[in-house]
Amino acid sequence: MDAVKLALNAFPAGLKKDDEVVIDMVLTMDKKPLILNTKAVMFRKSETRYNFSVVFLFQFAPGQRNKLVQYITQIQMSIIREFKGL
Amino acid sequence: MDNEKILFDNGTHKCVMFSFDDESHEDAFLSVNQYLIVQNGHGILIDPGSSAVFDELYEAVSRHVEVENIKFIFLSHQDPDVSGAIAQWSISTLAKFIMSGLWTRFMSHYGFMSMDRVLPLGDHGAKLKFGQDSLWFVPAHFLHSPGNFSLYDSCSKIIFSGDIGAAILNTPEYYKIVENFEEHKKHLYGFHKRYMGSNKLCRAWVGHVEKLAVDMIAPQHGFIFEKEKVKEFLAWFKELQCGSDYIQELY
Repeated sequence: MDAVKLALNAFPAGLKKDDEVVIDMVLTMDKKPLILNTKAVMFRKSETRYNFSVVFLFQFAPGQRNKLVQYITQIQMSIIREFKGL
Repeated sequence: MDNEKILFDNGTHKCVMFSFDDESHEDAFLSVNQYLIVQNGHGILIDPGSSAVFDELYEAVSRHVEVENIKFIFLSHQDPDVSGAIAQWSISTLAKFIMSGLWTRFMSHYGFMSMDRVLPLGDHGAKLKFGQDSLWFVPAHFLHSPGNFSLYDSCSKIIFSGDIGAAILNTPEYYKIVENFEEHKKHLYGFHKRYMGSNKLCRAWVGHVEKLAVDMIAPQHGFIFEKEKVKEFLAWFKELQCGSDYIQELY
């Protein structure tokens, strides 16, 4: 809940560890957009032959964190229902 | 009405009643209550209900306690209006789940997959101590479920009674408290006559509860009993003919 890993085809020039960025998450919950944004710092970059992945650390405000927990709960419940045939 | 009411608060120990219902079935619902105990910033959630109320209750609970600090979730019995959202709560918290050992194996049918987080209660119940006080899981078997517990909080002197004391009536615009027990009895009778096991079982539960200092009975449906109404309810419940006492009407 305190980090996000992004897969990127191209890596922004100059971005380095501990740089501050703003992350906008646009998700869908209950058929409505769920928009979460927060300041974050770059924690780690890894590079493969065809893409990059970058981990950003952040600290959500309590209300935003709760929304993300509810979103994740819904997604996991969908997976459980599909898996168990509920 | 307000969806929440503080029942007790001494600065370090707080009991909150929530009243969230499945609004899509308003015409068919029993007015449902959920409860939260907060002790020194740690939470115990009681009968959190079905997935229909999960989102609202999650938001409401998080106004009183950090959700990651919910240590226990107590389920008085297995019904969907009590335990239906166990899977959601298992995903969204780190809490342990306390329930009758009779029902643990059935929880997977609600999508629950964290059996290692269940603390199953034996038939005689258990006590959880905190400081000088304790939470006592009081046997309430066959009232109505075969594996059923009430929860007594010795600090607030509230007994969270599950379906015992449940009343069938519309949700009021004000605090859900029994004002006139004689008037309220008609809302209790039909439910208790059919759902509760027998008078022998009612007496066994009352016998336990009468040994405790109880200021309030907080059922999962309907209204709260305070002070004199506690005594009136216990006297009524002790004499109630129900369940197998009416076997000739059932077969």
